[in-house]
Amino acid sequence: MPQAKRKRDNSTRNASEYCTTNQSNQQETTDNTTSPAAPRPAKIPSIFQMRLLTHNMLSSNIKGVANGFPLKIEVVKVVEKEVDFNIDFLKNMFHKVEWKALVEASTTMGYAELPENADATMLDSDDFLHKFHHALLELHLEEGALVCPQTGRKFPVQKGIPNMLLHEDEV
Amino acid sequence: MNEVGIDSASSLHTSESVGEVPVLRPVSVRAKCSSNVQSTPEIEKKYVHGVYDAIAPHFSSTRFAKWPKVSAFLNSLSPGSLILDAGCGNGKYLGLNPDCFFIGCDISAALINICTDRGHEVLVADAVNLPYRTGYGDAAISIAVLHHLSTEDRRRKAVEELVRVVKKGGSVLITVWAREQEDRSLIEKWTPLNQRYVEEWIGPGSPRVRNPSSPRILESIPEAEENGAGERLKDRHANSSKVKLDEVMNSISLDEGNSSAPTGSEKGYAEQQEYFVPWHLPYHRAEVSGASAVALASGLAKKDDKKGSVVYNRYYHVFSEGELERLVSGLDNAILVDRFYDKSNWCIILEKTS
Repeated sequence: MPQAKRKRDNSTRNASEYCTTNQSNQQETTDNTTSPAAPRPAKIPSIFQMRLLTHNMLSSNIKGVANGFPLKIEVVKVVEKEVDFNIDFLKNMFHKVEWKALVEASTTMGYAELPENADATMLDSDDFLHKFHHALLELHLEEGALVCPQTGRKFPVQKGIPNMLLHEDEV
Repeated sequence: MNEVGIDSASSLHTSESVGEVPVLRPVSVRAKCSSNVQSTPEIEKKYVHGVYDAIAPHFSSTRFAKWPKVSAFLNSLSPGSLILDAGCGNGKYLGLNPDCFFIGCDISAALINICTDRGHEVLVADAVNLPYRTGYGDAAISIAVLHHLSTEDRRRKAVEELVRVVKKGGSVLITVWAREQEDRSLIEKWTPLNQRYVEEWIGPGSPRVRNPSSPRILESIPEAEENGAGERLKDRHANSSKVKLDEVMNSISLDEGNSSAPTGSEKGYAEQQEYFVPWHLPYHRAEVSGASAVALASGLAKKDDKKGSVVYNRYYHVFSEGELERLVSGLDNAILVDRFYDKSNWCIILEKTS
């Protein structure tokens, strides 16, 4: 699992402890908490909240909304979590990601190191890849909201889970 | 034949799919009506979403076996792929291929909470109306989801959404429960929807009511009711945002009458596709959530003291052989690349072509 590949496989207890401060830069420690003896694979994964990988995909689908992307991010709490580097994935995602939206979202989440423009040649740069990786996968919105750019409708993000369900009169 | 509702058909597509040519086909829901294909019918709210929310932890504890063919599909994808699971349940397939990334969604917040606790990246969303940009995913899966959608339009829309959200060349795996169950005795435990309809809204004294152990109920539903009353009921359905459940149920069976030709000669099981499938929530589980107390009070669930469980009914539309293929045959941007039957499920793999 990608979750298993992530370096920090702490228990959920630890993960939640690390997420208690606002705009925290705290990262989980590298010790792999020993799994309790169990018949099935028992790595207890970290909790992962909404990341910009997901944000870059999400679009308001309210009826009548022509431009539902990108959703504005309202930050209440961001946490950073270190994630394993997967170059195949980054190169694959680079061509899908709307770069401007990623830069804006990343800045909103407190990370302003991404270049304003990017092209595929930059994928040869380790420095660029690591920044891209950090913005895409290591910034987690734990509490906040996603706001439809056209209607202002707020989709809540609670405990890291965006709720994108529409009301009856929105479909 | 119903009229071809061009307005309705085009309204089925989101603004992001402007490049797609709307498929013209008979539709029963008028575009002017606020109740459209993406608005959730009461039967799904009550007998799918409501039930999964109530049974989520217990359901999840029983859902860990992974179907080999789903695993094989996921493991066949290129390293670095982004896989979208629409209707991910407790997330048992999320992360299955360690070289890929997964994003799951489900309409049940209770199940999504379980996914989050397991470390998966997920959101609450409706598979009939995915809040995703077009073409972002490399592959998508819909495992045991479409059979919970109560109209053919909604099932087709969910397929269109799966195709929409993957890239050109991306693949989509869909599995659904088959009407042709390997273990036929299982079906005996299910409640054919028409029977329930008859019992609840016409009454047990009705001559239509069958012996509960007999599978012959369908014979007692007059053909005329399936056809003649159809439009009237559908119109009432379409014109009222709050539709009574009995009307929904009735129009469901009508939809089937119109859309799928009978394949078997035997009446009864051969044609029955709408069921309530029981879920037994043990008392000790039911006490945990409190949702069951509400469900019992409202009549959504019943007690079974013999088995020591609270019994919920989940709505299912089980698919007949060939139905899934027919459902996707109108897609102009995807082709069928594989189809198979696996453990009482019909399964297809689509490839997006444009």
